Amino acid sequence: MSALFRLLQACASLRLTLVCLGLAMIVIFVGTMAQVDHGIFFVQKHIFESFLVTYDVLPRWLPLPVIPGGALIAVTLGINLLAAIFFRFTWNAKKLGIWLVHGGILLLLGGGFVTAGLSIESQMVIDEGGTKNYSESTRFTELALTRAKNDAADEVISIPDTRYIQPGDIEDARLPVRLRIHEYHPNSQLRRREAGDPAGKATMGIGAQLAFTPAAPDPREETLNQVIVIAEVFDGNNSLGTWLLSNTLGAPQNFVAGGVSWQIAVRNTRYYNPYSIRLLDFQHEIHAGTDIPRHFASQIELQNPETGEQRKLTIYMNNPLRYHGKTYYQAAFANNDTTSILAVVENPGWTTPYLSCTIITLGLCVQFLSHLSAFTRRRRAAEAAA
Amino acid sequence: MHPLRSIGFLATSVALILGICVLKNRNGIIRHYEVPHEPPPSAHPSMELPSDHPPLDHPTTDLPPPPTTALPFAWTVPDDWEAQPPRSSMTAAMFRVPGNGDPDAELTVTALGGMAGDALSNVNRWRGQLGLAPITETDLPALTHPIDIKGLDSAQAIWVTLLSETPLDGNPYRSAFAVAFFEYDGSVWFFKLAGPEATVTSAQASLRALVETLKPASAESHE
Repeated sequence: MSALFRLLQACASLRLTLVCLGLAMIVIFVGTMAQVDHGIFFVQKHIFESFLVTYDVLPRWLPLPVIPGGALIAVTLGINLLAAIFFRFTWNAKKLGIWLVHGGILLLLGGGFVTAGLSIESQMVIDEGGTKNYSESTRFTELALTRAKNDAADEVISIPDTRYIQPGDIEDARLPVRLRIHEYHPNSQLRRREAGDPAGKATMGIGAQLAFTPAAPDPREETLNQVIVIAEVFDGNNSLGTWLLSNTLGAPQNFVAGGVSWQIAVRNTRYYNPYSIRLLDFQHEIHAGTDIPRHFASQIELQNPETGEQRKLTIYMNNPLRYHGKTYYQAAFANNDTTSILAVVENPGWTTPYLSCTIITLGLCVQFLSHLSAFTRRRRAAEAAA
Repeated sequence: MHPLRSIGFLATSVALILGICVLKNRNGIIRHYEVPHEPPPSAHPSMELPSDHPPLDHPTTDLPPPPTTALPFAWTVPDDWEAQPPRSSMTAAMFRVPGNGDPDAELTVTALGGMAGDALSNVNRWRGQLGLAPITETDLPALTHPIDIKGLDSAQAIWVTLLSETPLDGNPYRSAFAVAFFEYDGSVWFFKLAGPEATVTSAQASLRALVETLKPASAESHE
């Protein structure tokens, strides 16, 4: 029991705090430098949000850990802080400032985990005159099975990419079929099949006419990786065929299971809204005589059938639309200024940095003023005694 | 060290780690939901292709909008077939074929690149759409028939009719396709009649006659 107590007490060590802070500085430096070659998304996932930063000099099944990842440091710091709160700090009014400062730091760490785990970044691409009720991820794909349930609604079953990156069967009570994943390629070059190409695995759909060459994923933000999944569909034990699916095919493919027509596609992950946005006009102004942009703006109409809202708004730089927990920023444009691209950010923890910084500031003020007050009292007492 | 504090610390730490594990694993959940019925592709010509179209060699986002398909030939369409606006720029023409008591069928005329002409993969694609098992090369001659198009330099079309074994999508009728496809002017042209069995069966003779009497556009403008 005493060994456990010693271990718990070691968790509250100030040395551990300093080691974590030192490692955090190294991880931030490494992550910042790695962004040059790998881009922000890769660094965020593999350095800041991972437990170990690995160097793949060995086969993929045995990556060599080099330094702890941001997540491991943050968890250790959180436990260290909790241990300090439980074992080292004393509960009295004189320590109110210390409590507020450390509570604020704990809230900041918790908010970081909420952001890492729950925040969703996506894009909404709308043409002038077009309406969208969903945004799409630029990094994650999903395998979607869709059928027209009636004239007004489609039924969608969406399988996240984490379920099909490894070969194997996907079975679920919600799925009308069993899927057998034969291959997954995070990026590839897709082309029409030519004479001399080896036989492909796809037997159904347009994939039977295609060949592809796997490629390394491109980490650049502006590049769309051409994801390919080779999936066999089973209705019970009866194979319906094998399809080549890709997020760049442009249209879903069809199969029939149990007398029902389904569409199958790998597509960029969609996030649907109970409301829709219609792009009325996109404006792109440049400084006279130059190509330097001066003003981008999307005039939109927000339509929410649940609340009856139908209002016109303008989204432009530094003036995003915040609605239903999502923030829409003017991000880019395309097609000769007739298509607007809005960056959509949903982050349930977006308020925690503001709140925690306020609490930490308040705690520092309380701590400083209490020390100042005590110092003043001691000085007056000393002056009186003199 | 107070035992209650130790228990409190351990409980809070375990809750923290469990919370992180839940957050990290939530991305693997299969979602099942309903969305408003999605209309046919129309919004972004360079991002959307018709369902029968083979994929392009590069990501669609890098490509300019496809040109509107022009018709290199003329035809004579039955009077009661009603022209419809094409659903995409790759569709050359669409017609609603009346069912005369049965639900209507739809004729779609599409032109695709030369590699789209492989008969077996096309037939298997349509069979898949009707819930039929794929066939092999040896089965193909029994299911397809040649049609001579004398007006188009004696081009030869492949004619195929397909019928689902059971009603699909809750419809009270079986679904059928009648398709003629042929290579002409550097593209493969598809004339696909799709709809209820009765409507497709009664209209397929008119479709066959339409294909057999196609003429170059320079000879006559299409009706």
